[in-house]
Amino acid sequence: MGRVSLRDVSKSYGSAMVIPGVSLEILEGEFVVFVGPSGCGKSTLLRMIAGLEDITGGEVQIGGRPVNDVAARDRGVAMVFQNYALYPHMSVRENMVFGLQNLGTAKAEIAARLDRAAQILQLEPYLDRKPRALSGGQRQRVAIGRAIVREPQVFLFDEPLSNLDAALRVQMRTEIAKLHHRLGATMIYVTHDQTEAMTMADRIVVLRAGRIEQVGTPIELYERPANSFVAGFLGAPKINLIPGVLTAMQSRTATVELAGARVPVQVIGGTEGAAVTLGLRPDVLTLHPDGPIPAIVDVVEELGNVKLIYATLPGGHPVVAELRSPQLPKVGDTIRLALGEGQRHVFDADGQAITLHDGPAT
Amino acid sequence: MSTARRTGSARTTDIILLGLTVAFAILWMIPVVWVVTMSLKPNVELMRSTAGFIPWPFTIDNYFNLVKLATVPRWLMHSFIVAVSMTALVLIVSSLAGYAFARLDFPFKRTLFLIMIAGLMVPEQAVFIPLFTMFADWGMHNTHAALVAPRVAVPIGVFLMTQFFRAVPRELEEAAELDHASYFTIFWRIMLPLSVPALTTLGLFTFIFAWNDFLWPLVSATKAEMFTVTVGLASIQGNFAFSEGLGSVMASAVFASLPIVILFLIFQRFIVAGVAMGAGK
Repeated sequence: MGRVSLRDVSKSYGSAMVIPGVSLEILEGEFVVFVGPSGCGKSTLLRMIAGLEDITGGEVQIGGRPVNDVAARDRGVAMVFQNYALYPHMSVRENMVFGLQNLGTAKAEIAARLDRAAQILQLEPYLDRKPRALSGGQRQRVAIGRAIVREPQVFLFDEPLSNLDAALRVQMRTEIAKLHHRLGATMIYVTHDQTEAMTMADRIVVLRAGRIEQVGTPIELYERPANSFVAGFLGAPKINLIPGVLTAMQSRTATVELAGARVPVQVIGGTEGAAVTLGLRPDVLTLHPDGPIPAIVDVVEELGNVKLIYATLPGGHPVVAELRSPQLPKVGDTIRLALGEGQRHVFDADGQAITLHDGPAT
Repeated sequence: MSTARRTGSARTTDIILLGLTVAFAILWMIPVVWVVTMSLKPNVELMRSTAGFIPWPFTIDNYFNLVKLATVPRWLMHSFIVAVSMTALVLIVSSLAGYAFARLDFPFKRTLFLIMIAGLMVPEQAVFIPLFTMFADWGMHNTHAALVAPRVAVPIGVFLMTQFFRAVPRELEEAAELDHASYFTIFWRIMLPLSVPALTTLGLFTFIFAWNDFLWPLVSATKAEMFTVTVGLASIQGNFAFSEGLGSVMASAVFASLPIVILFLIFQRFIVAGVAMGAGK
């Protein structure tokens, strides 16, 4: 019922093409996160699924039914908006049951569904309050509750946590994940926050300029990014993308020569002497007196369990290392970075991955 | 030190502003107090002098004479019917048209909106004669419908409501649409309740306009039994009213303004909010 299919879906405003053509299958019960930078078309895509934006080309199917010409109210979807979009003149209770009233649902059924949703979201004490008397987190829970009572085929979330403070965001993130587990409904979630995407999604769809860059589980995308954009978008702190040259190519091994360092890598494809980008996650780098990569420390951040070292390579390229060792260098020290366990990503001149991976993603 | 100095200068500014406000308030109040004073003085006394703000010698004969007139309650009733029905119709038309202009897509929307706005520039007097002829042809003069109908499509009302509806976040309508609400349900259950402050302001100004309306009722209501209170009170002033019956004239003015004053006192919060809303656009 809750399967969503996008078949070469496109969107343009006049002559400006914002989504050139997206194809995607979202399975029933899946939690899919659309992630990408501002203006990448993720919200537009979500609104096209909701029926709030016209579709220029292609086809959207919900539950196997083409819905291009079906009004938003008849698509069987519920949406949680970034700004909550609660009806300010109605109480929490009225907000939550408005949709069911419009459907002509029986009063007993409305009451039962309201009780259930209020209990799931712990909204019972606030049912008679107006939205203005609620905190941001409570308002967001009401917005989610309004979606839950409708028991839709598909839940759509449009950056629902972006107006909350950091602590509340973490809490609500967990609550939404729990809710998905409990309801087992299809959920499509839009965010520009890679942490939300990584922690909540069954599958992540990374978008850039209206195109899908990569689709996969969070760990697939983290460990095997298809290109440098995906590698750069997922992971905090950001992956180090260091320019270098591919040398010493054997059948599947090669060396990336950086300014003042040589890093052995495994590749498929690539040509001797080609300009490449080496991608090293900050946690791959360790401190070692004989490490191949020299760097000068700019900033040291102590985060308790880990320390972040921001340094500059001989070629002037910045690099960040996430360390767990008790000894810390000082600002201005020259350190040597070694490569610990973990993937060494290599991207060709177009940014496409040419890394050779051993076995499936973990 | 500097804080203390700033506090001192702020206090001086406050005192000056307060003084100016009081001065302007007095300036505005003088004519009103003068009219009330004169309405409470005998006509004979007023023939001698109209000066002074103390109603002495005191009389309420001017008001008694007014109330004694058998036609006054009827005129009040007409004014009330006209003002209430005009207010209701203006609110219905303005809110529906405003919603359509603000949110719905239809052919020639922009052009129609501009034509509607252009209506603001047409002086009432310019259409008076054709309007009179039209209603005469339809045989509608001396009816409530004739007093109300020409005033129902008010460009400023439509403009006010359009601007208000434009400011309502679109997500609310989208949320309602996903909540299976029809266009009418969205209008009736979401947009209209949200626009209560704007509707109240528009309603108050319409009611006041309708109550004070003089020229069109004077032309359209030619029979004494169809007069509104403003036309009726004007009609009972004799030839020498402003010399021999000034007290009665002033009592009429006070009497006719009373409902509006009461309305202002009750709804002044909305009137201020409405003016601020207009200023914010």
